[in-house]
This record gives sequence, structure tokens and C-alpha cells, in this order.
Amino acid sequence: MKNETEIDPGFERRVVDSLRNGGLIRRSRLPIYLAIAAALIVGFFAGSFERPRDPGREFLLLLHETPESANRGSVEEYGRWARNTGAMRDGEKLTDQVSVLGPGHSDGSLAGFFKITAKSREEAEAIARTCPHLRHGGWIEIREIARL
Amino acid sequence: MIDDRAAVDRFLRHRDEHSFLTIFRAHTPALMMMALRLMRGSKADAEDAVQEAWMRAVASLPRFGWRSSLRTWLCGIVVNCCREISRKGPPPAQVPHDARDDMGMDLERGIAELPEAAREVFVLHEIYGFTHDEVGGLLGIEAGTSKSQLHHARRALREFLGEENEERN
Repeated sequence: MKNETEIDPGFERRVVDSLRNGGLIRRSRLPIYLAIAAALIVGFFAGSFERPRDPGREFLLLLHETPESANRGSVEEYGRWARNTGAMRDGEKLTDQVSVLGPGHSDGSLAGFFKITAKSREEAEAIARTCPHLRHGGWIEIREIARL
Repeated sequence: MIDDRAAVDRFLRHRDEHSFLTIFRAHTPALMMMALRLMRGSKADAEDAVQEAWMRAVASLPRFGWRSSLRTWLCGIVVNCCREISRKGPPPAQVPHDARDDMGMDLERGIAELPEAAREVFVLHEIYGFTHDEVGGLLGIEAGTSKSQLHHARRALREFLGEENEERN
């Protein structure tokens, strides 16, 4: 016997509207990871990212959200920043869905990442320090990609 | 499958539509099917029950203590909402639309014909796999009462299915 049924999108909308009207949830602004993705897409299609230098080292800037940073920031702001770094390689959005295998625990705060090039960790940190994500209360984890 | 704890933590941090929908989409297909069976196949009543259940669940979520799984807790709220709607006037029995292609169509019709108390126990125990202790907790009855209601439900369904077969033959 079936244990699940498909949900009508109209019903989903109805529930969300009633929760919002009841003040129980608020409208999502553009999530940070979408802002990142949109900024990258806009930047690449406009051809406005400078060609990344080739300093030989790559770093991931892992953008974590906090209650203060959630729903803040704009596409334009992140796009401007990404273009100006001249070090941008890539970026991806992460969905909210988290699966954890093994004894670890995810707090679900990782919202997206940028991959940049830099000559040193200090330079990567200097680039990350200018990211608008920090001004909005989020935090950034900087990890170098190992070359094997 | 989602990590319910992480999803709830995230929702409570953000309280926004996006993080709510992660939880909603993970659980509503099962909650809706359960409500359809409890509401004797009435889609309108099942949707009203599930909508009201989400309103209550979201309001109570900060106080949810994880003494049961999130799914079990949500099922309990849906059961209560179904009961409240049923009290206003039980809908006529019909087979839930999504169950019509199943081999168990006669069984679905039989479930819809069961008295409310027996139907609740049968759906929760036999279809959704809750133990009698869990069913007791969800319905506010003793585990022994759950067992006896299940016995009544099985007997009534056997009779119903027997009559259906006789009519066919």
C-alpha cells in the first residue's frame, strides 16, 4: 500500500501563504548561495571577470551562514566583489539538504563556496576579508586545495 | 531523506520560507497520505488537516524536545487535526485518489468504512508501522486499547473483504 502521495504545488503555496500571513515564517529573499551562483553566472556571461592569474595555489572560501547573515546581501554586491577579486575560478550553490554518514554532525550552515587562486594563504585570506559575506555577519572558512 | 535535526535547526535560525520548504517537502507526502486515509479519502478535508497541522507544528517547533522522531510528532499533530475536522461532520467514505491504482483498492475502501477509532489504529499500526505504544501516545489511548481496536479493525476488514468477494462471485 502506498505510504506517500504527490503534493499539489497549489497546496504547498497555500500552506506557505498561511504561515506567512500568520507571521510564522518570512519570505525568503535570495538565499546567499543563489546570490553567489547568480553573481558568477552574470559575471562570466558579461565577460567581466578578469582572467585569473596563475599563482599556482588554489583555495576554497567556504561561506557559512549565521542568523545575522541569512537573507542579506544582493546579487549586485557579490557580483561586484567577485569581479573585482580577479582571482575567481568557480563557485557552486549548496542546497539545504544535508546527509551525514558516520559519527559527524553538520550544523547546516555551509551555504556555498568560491574557488580562488592566490599566491599564498595570506593572500587568500586578504581576498576573503573583502567578501561582503563578512560584513553581513557570516563567516568564511578558507581551505587550500591539496595538490597530489 | 533529510537530516531532520539539521533542517529544523536551520529553520529555527532563519524562520524563512526556503528552510521551511525543506522540511515540508520531506514529510508532507506521507502526512497527506495518512490524512487521506484518516479522512476517508476526502482530499479537501485531508488538505485542511495537513495545513492546520503545519500551522501548529511550526508554532510549536521551538519547544519540540526530540523525545520522538520529527515524523512521529508530526503524525500526532495530523491525527489530532483530522479528529477535529471529523467531529464537525465525517466526510462520506471514498478511496483516496492515489490509492485507486493499487491492488489494495478493496482494502482501501474497507479502511474508509471502519469506525474512526479502529481506522486510526489500523492506519497508524498496520500501514505506517507505529508500535502499539507509539499509537497509544499518538492517540491518547492505552497500548492495550490500541491492540483491541486493531483486532476489531482486522475482523471488520475481513468481513468487508469477504462480502466484496461474495458480491463479485
